[in-house]
Amino acid sequence: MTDEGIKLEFNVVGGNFSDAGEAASKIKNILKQLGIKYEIIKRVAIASYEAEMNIVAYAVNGVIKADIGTDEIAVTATDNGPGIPDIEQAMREGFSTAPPEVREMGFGAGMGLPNIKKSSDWMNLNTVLNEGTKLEFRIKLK
Amino acid sequence: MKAQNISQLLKTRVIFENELESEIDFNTVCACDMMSDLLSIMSCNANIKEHFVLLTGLTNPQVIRTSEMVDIKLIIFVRGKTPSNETVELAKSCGISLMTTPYSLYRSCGVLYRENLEDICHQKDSA
Repeated sequence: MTDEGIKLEFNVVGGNFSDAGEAASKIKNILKQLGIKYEIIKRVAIASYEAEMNIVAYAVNGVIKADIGTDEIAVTATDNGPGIPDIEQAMREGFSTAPPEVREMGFGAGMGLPNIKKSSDWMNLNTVLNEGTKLEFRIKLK
Repeated sequence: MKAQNISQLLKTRVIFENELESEIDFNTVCACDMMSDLLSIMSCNANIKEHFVLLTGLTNPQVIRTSEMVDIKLIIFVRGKTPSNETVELAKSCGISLMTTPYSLYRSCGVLYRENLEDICHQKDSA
């Protein structure tokens, strides 16, 4: 990333479904203002929103950082949630451990992480049980 | 098809109309209650530029947030469902029009399909 990029940071509170999506919405609007192509903005918005929903659904709190450079956006979502016991299983479409209140909102279909992977050019997931998860993804802006 | 024509076909009650978007030509429909599915469809079709209508039975604020992420400009709640004030206020702030139809999801889809609105997955021809 370049030193001249725009750096954004958002605190995300676990269980606060009323505000869920605000970070992704702000990232999306900034990319719009920067004149980034429509389909790229949509990919960033989808991946950021899924990452934010994961924190809200599973963690007590977390942080989303976005580093918007000239050529790409790098997003990091860090949380203090329970961690992911089996990443391979979590990456499989349809697998979900979402609680009922998340499913009632139309989520928890086991599509979150696969959607992030599909929408991004690079994704990395580090998780430690009972400590938390760090999800990183990058999307080229050109 | 303009939102006004869709409204007449589905006998909707308009909850909020973004008048700035009243000239949008909607030619595609997505019908689902799983926001995960909607995001999944859009993550596979990020280059879709058509304006599309979301038909859903979900009325919570996350429907609006999800729609905002994928640039949906018109949501129609089926079976006469009415969203909460929180949902309506969020829709207003995002500029997303809201309507409610007494029709079921199935009937709503049928009416719009008959009028040649496309499936978001573009499977009409191969069905």
